[in-house]
Amino acid sequence: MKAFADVLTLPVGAAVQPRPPAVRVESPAPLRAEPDEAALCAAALLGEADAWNALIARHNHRVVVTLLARGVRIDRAKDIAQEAWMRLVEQQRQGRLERLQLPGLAVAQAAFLALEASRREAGVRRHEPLDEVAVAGALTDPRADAEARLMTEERIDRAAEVLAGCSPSARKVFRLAYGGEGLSHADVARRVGLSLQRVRQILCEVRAKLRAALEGEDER
Amino acid sequence: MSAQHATSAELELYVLGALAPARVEAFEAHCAACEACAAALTREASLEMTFEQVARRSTRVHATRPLRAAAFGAAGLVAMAAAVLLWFGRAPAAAATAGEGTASAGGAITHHAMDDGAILDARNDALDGG
Repeated sequence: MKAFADVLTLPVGAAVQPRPPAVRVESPAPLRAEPDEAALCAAALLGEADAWNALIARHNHRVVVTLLARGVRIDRAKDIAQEAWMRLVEQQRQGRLERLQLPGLAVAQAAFLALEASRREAGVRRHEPLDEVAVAGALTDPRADAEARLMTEERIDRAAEVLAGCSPSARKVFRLAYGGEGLSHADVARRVGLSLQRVRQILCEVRAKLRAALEGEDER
Repeated sequence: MSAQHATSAELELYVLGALAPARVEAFEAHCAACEACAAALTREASLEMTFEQVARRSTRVHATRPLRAAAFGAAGLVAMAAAVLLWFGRAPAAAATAGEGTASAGGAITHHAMDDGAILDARNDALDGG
């Protein structure tokens, strides 16, 4: 597969660099002003490779994690995420990309590619002899689906209650970090006027509480 | 496959994008080959997605709370206004009803007298031939 560098004529390193350390960092990094998301998206829509690379560096990990959560294996998830970004760049080059909302658009593109890949695989398997047990396992009961959705909703409600019991500043930090705006921890720190280290501490505490609540639900 | 299984701390750090760069490659190679660690990574990533849903739900509740308070306030004001209007609307009506109590016979006679007059007029017209 072509690397981002082939498409964007820029080093691939910038695109796949992991996010800065999020937890257990002893000395906080200085808060540098990161380029504004809207400005980056506008520049990317004009075809600026630097802007694309910055956006990929910022959001690629989120795309990979979304695929992992869908049960895609890590190696496949990374390939699919890369393919998703290349398709977005292609679409922009062909003038078919009017708006760029990230990470949502890349996540949707990657989810589509993952679905397409699994359909292709299923198509290949169609020519193989049927494995009745596997088929029976694949045919899920729609009621079970509805039950699973309900259980997920209940888990989210339960975790939301736990979050509601946290301090207002902890809730604000958590909402900003996980609210889907794609904010880095440094962005969050800047918005709430706290140090980066404090923001990470708060996130660790809230995550531990929510994890305990969610995993406690699972054990019941 | 590397023999070193992923620890829960590593899984969490990886999902957060905070695993030490030196460990990332070995971690990914291991999770690509080890069923148990791949499943644990899927669970960790799924938990991260759940956190995002929790944050979104919390944000929605946070955003709708002032609106709900405003709606309750507005409903209260409307109810109070309706109560005041009913109160003032009832007072003249009650006064009128009280007045009717003394003049009800006259009112009724006047009403019937007007009707009778109209009937008589109509009869006279008919007798006059139209």
